[in-house]
Amino acid sequence: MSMSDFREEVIIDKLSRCNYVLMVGAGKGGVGKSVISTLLALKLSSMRKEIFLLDLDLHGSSIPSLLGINYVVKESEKGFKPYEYNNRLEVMSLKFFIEDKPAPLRGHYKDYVIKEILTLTNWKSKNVIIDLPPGFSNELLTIIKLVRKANVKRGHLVITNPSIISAEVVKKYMTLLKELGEEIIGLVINMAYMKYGNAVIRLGELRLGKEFQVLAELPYIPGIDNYLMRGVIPKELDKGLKPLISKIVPLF
Amino acid sequence: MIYLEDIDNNLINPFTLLTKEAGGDLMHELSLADALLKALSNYAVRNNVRIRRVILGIGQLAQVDKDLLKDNIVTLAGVYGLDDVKFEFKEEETIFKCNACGHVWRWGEIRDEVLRGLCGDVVECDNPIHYIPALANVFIRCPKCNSLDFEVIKGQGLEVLSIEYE
Repeated sequence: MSMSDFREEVIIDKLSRCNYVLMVGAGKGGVGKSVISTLLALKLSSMRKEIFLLDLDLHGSSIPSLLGINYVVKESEKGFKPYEYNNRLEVMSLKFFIEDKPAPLRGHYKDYVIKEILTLTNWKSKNVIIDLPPGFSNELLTIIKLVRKANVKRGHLVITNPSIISAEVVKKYMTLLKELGEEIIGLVINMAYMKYGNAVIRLGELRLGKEFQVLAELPYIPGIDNYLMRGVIPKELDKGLKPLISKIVPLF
Repeated sequence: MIYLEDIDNNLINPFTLLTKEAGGDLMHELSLADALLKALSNYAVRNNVRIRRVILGIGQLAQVDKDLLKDNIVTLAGVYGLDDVKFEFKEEETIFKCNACGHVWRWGEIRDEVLRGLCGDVVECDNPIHYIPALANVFIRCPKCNSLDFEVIKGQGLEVLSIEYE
C-alpha cells in the first residue's frame, strides 16, 4: 500500500482542528466575492474573532491589493508564515509567492498549488474564510473535498450582483452546491443599490425564485477598494452587513 | 533520541535545534520534513499499522537539499513516534514536455538559467519553485518554442513512493 498524497493527510489534519470554514463563492466573476470576503474578515476580526483569510483565486488574486498588503512569503518553524494583518487576522495568497506574475496553471497544477500552500502554511486562527475564484473547477471542488474529509463545520456564502446574467450562473452554482450536499448559509446581492443624497437607486431588478432566500443586500460604494486598503468599512456597507454578521458570529 | 513528552513539557524544541544546525536560517527542508512525518504518523494511527520502511522520491525541480531533508527527517522522526522507520531517498530527474510543440527536456539543461533568473546566480536559493514546484509554468518556458504551456512529466517534488508496514 502507498500513501497517494501526504499533503492531503496534513491539510485534513489542519482543517480538522479549525472551528469553522466559510467559503465565499459565486461561480460568476466580478460580483464582489473578494470585497465581501475582505469586509467579513475585517469586521469579524474587529469583533475579536480570529480569522484566517485564504485567497484561492490563483489567477485573479485580489485580497492582497484590497488590504494593501505587499508581502513576500517567509518561513517559520513549521512552514509558510501567513501575513499578519493584525493580531486576529492572518492572510495567505499565491500572490505572496509570485507577486504580480501571471500564473498559467492547468487544472491539475492548480490542485498541486492549493495543496502545497495549505500543507505548508502555518496558520493559527480557528475560523477560515476562503475567497473562491469564479468557475466550477479545481479550486472549488478540491477545497470542498478537503474540508469534507476534515469533517470540519462549514458553510457557503453565495454572492451575486443584481443582474440577470449573474443570477443565472449563481443559480447553477447553488444547484451544484446542493447536489454536493453543501450547506448554503446565505445568498448576498451585492451592489444591489446606491445612495445618491437621500435617493436610493436600485441597480437591477433581480427576480429569484422563492427557494432563494436573500440574506443581505449590499450597496454599491464607488471606490470601495480605497476604503478597504485603509482598513475602513463605509458606514452604509457596515449597516448592510449586519444580517450577515449576525448569521456568521454564532458560527465563529 | 527526542521524546515527545520533553517537547510537550517545553524541555526541548527540536525545531530550534535543527534551525541552529542549519546556521540559524529557517529552511524549507525543515517544514517539508515536519509535514511528511506528520502525514506518516497520522497514516499509521488511522490504519493501525507500524511503518517499517518509506521510500521518498525527490524531484530535482524542487531543489531540495537531500542531505538536509534526510537529517531533518531522521532527527524529527522520534517526535512522531517514527524513529524505527527506515527512510530511503531516490532523487528523480525532472523531465518536462511542451504541450505546444512536443519538445521534451530535462532540468539539467535549464537549471543554471532558471536559477540565475530566480536567485541572481547559479546557486540554489529560497525561491517560489523551491517552495511550490507546481509553479514551474510561472517561471520556466519551453527551450524550443518559448511556450509556458508544458507538463512536468516526472520528478516534480517530494513524493511518498511507497510505504512498507506491518
